[in-house]
Parts: sequence; C-alpha cells; structure tokens
Amino acid sequence: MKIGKYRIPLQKPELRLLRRSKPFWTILGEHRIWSTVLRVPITFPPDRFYGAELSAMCVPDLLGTQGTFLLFTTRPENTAFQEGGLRVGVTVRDDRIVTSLQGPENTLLDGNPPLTLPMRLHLDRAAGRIRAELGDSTLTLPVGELSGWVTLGFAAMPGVTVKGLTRLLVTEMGDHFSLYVAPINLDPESPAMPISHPSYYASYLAKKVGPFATLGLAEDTWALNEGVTNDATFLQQTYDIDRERLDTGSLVCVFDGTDRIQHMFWRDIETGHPAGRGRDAAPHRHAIRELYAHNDALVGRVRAQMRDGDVLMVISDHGFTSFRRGVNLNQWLLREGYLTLKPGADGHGEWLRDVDWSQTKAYVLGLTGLFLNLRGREAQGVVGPGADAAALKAELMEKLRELRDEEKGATGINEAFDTAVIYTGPYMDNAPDLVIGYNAGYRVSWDCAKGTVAGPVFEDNTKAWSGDHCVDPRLVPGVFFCNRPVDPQEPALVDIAPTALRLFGIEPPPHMDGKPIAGLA
Amino acid sequence: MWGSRLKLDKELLARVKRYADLAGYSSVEEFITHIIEKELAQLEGSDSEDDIKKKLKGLGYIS
Repeated sequence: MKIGKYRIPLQKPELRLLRRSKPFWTILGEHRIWSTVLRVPITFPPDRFYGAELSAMCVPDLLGTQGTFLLFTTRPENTAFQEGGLRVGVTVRDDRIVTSLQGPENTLLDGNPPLTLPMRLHLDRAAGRIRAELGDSTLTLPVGELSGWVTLGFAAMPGVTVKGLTRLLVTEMGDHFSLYVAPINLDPESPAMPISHPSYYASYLAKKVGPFATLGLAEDTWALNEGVTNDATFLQQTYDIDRERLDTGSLVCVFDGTDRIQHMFWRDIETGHPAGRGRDAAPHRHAIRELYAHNDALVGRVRAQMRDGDVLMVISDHGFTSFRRGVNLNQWLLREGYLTLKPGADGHGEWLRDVDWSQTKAYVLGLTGLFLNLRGREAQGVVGPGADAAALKAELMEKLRELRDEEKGATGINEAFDTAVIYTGPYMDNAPDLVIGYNAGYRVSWDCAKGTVAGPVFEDNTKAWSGDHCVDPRLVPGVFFCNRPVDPQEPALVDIAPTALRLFGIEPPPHMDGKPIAGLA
Repeated sequence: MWGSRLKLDKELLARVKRYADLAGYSSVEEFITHIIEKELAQLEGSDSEDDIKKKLKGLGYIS
C-alpha cells in the first residue's frame, strides 16, 4: 500500500527454516519438558516448541548478509575484499572526517535505497584517539582499542527505526587513517527479524545481560582473513562473545527468613521471656540456630559458584534483640499532659480516634515515631512551628532520656533522636519529629503503634512476635561479610549502593549519601 | 503506569537540573514530581470549590 512516497507492506516477509527432522528439544517439549537452547547452529528462524531459544548460525547481519564488515580508510585501493567486507574511501580535512554508515535497504521506499547514518570522526592525534559521532551515539576511542557495542538507529520512516549493534576499531592513525566497523548485528533488544522463541526472549536477555552478538557467525573471521584486523582483535572478539554467555552484572537477593524467624522465635532463646512460657519442649525451639545453619549452607553454595573476580557481600540491614516489654508512649504523653482525650472517650479507640487535637501537643503512631501536633502540618495542629516546636522537642527528649520501667527496674528508652539532626535530604518532611531509641527488650506496644492511648505505659509482650529491631539502632547493627578484605571500618547500609556502582567502574551519582567501601571499590 | 509527558524549555530545564542536583534528588523527574506533590498537598483537604479557589488565590495561582 502506498502512502505518499512510502510503500507500506501489508504482510510480513516469510522466513523459513530449511533444516529437516526434529531436534531433541522439540521432542522434549512434546513431553512438556522445558529446554533452553542458546546459540545452537541452524536455529534461524527459531523453532517453536515448549522452551526458549536464541538463534545462532545463519542469523544475518543488518545488511542481510552473513557478516559484512566496513573499513573506512584513506588508503587508495581499487580491489574489493574477497571474503566479505566493504571498503569506504574517506578524506581527512583538518583532522575531521565526514562520512556515513550504510545500513540495510529501505524497502519502504521505491527503489529500495540504502538507509544511511551520518558519521563524523574527530582525530586527536596528540592523544592517540578519535571521537566518533554516529547518529545519536558518541564515543571516544583510543587507537588500537576495540570499542564496546555501539547502538545504531537507521530511520526508515517516521516512527520506524531499524536498530543494530556494531563495534569499532581504529587500526591506524598516521600517514593513513583506517577505521574497522564490525558487521552490524541485529540489536537483540529490538531485532529487525525473529531471532528468538518466544519472540520477546532476545529482548529479555538483552535487558538482563546487556547487548550481545546476534550474527550467526559473530566472530569476524573475514576481517582477519583480509588482514583488516589482526589475531589479537579476533581473539578479543571471540572471547568477548564467549563472555556474553556468562552473566555479568549484579545479583541482589533478599532472604527474609532471618528477619521473620527471629521475630517469631526469639522467645525460645531468652530465658524468662514472657512469650516463652511453657515452651521448653516446643518442637521448633531451635528454629533460630537452624536458620543460621541453613543460611550458612546457602552462602557455601553461592561461594562454590563464584568465579575469580566475583564479589560477594552478605549483609543485613539490622540486627535483632528481645522484645519483652511494650511501651505505650501515648499513655505516657497523656499522663505527662502532652495529649488529651476527647470528653467521654476512654482511649481504647484505635488510630488516635479518641484524641482531642485542640489540646494535644504530641502523639505516637507506628513503630518508632513521635510527632508534634504541628500547626500548618497537622490538620488541627496547635504547636507553633520554629522556636515553639524546637522547645517542645527538647523538653520531650529530656524527659524520654533513660525513661524508667519502674516495675522491672530497667531503662525502657535510652533516648529520643531529633530527626532534624539525624536526617538530611529532600524528604525530611515525611519523617516523624522524634525517633524513639528503645532499650534492648523494649519496643512500642502493639496498642500504641495503632494509636491506642489506654493501658499501662509498660506491659509484657506475650505474642509469638518476641524479637524486634525497631529500637535504639546502636543496639541492633546489621552484619557485613565479604569475600574480599576491606579496610577496617564500619560500612554503613548507605555505602552498599555506591560500592556496587564503583565495582563496575561507575562513579556514584552525587545524590547518594554513602561512599564506596574502602578497599573493596 | 504511562502518565503524561511534559516538555520544558532548555533554560527552565537547566535551572531545574541545577536545583535537583543541589537538593539531592536522583533525577530531574524526581525533583519535578516532588515539587508538584508538595504544591498539590497545599490544596488538598478542601471540601468545596470555593475553598480550593481561596487556596489557589492564597498561593498566587489565580487572582
């Protein structure tokens, strides 16, 4: 169908796999046994079967050939390459080259003219490198160094871009200049032809592991045959393609069992825990010890899979301690005159329903936060922002410091932390005004966390949820294990992300609060 | 999930980027989203159109 100068195809071109017989993975699939088939020869176009497949030999390059490299050169040559490459003559003016990359034929236009991508090369002879601009991509390339994958986008018509991948190598920059451009592979993230089954599998892999070679015979033997590249370049291409078979990147996996099991079974490892009564013969009373043995075995299995250069970090975001006694700070605020109940209310309502906001200066909701009833923030705030709020915070912090549980003769709260001091960043407005540092064994009570006011200030916790970490953070640090020695220091949780970035050669962006762990990255 | 796209002129974008970096946002998009959320929060909680218009006047959006 013609629309203006464009010919819009009404059906897809047909691709047929001419291989005969039936591969074993198809037969396995008929028995509902899944197979994953990666880069096995003669799998283009891909089989359709119960499994996943990434095509290999016979997948063409973007030009529709089995691998046509390009050589942009100032050397005058009249003979064509014998095995499969195109020589493109260029001229250097003021150390600049203006040329273009020829892509596939544009079958959407009459006459099928080739798609082209403008290419500008800036030669920096003193530094021994060039800056190459190809369409939207720009890269700096030292002489003799093979680039990574460069994505090319050939615009076929408005809304239609044909994508490919290539690598570049400046082979000489002296009296003559030559630039090798590897055959343009189909971009696996957006292949111009079906190269996988299911069709989205190639794209999934590309998103997972990054760009990879899709050309059937991806290692450019013809360029080596023609003397355009040398042994070292060919070997590098080959090993690079092999390495694409292996996962590179980072893997992050959270195992929640260490959190959940310690929450629920702490009662079994602490003598006299109010939730541990009558559990001397409980069948799973060793659950925490068994958990760590289980996870230790997991770490062993992971380490057995690791290669040289892999970095393993085993971390936790917090430790654990006992939760024996619940603290109802709303009840404490009521007794101290900072919180008032509505007339007739008994304080048993959840979610602060019984609170008279017109007379209340502070309240607790959630696991660690104390909030001021702030004018301009809370809907019925009474505490003035600025100096009034600061003074009230200081008063509360003083009273909460080493708050005593007289019944047990122990300290229930070590101190309260001013979030204006301990937090920074653009989202501080979302934080409570004070974070409560409960002592070991103490935590906000179940009732108080839900905004209930009634009840004692201190009471036993008898629930199975008997261990916790929403306490003074100095009492429950997380752990950090690593397969590499690190400089003696205390890595913080915020240091993990910058460390991961630096390990891959990426400078952590300025918004990150942490810093790469010294000695590791 | 898809939302809308906004276009900003280059000068405004440059200003936004500078402040986003200084304030510690991970991206311009995050900064702009937060600005809009904070402005909208000042309008929310109103029951009537009149209340909303009063707030819009108070914030200087309408006269």
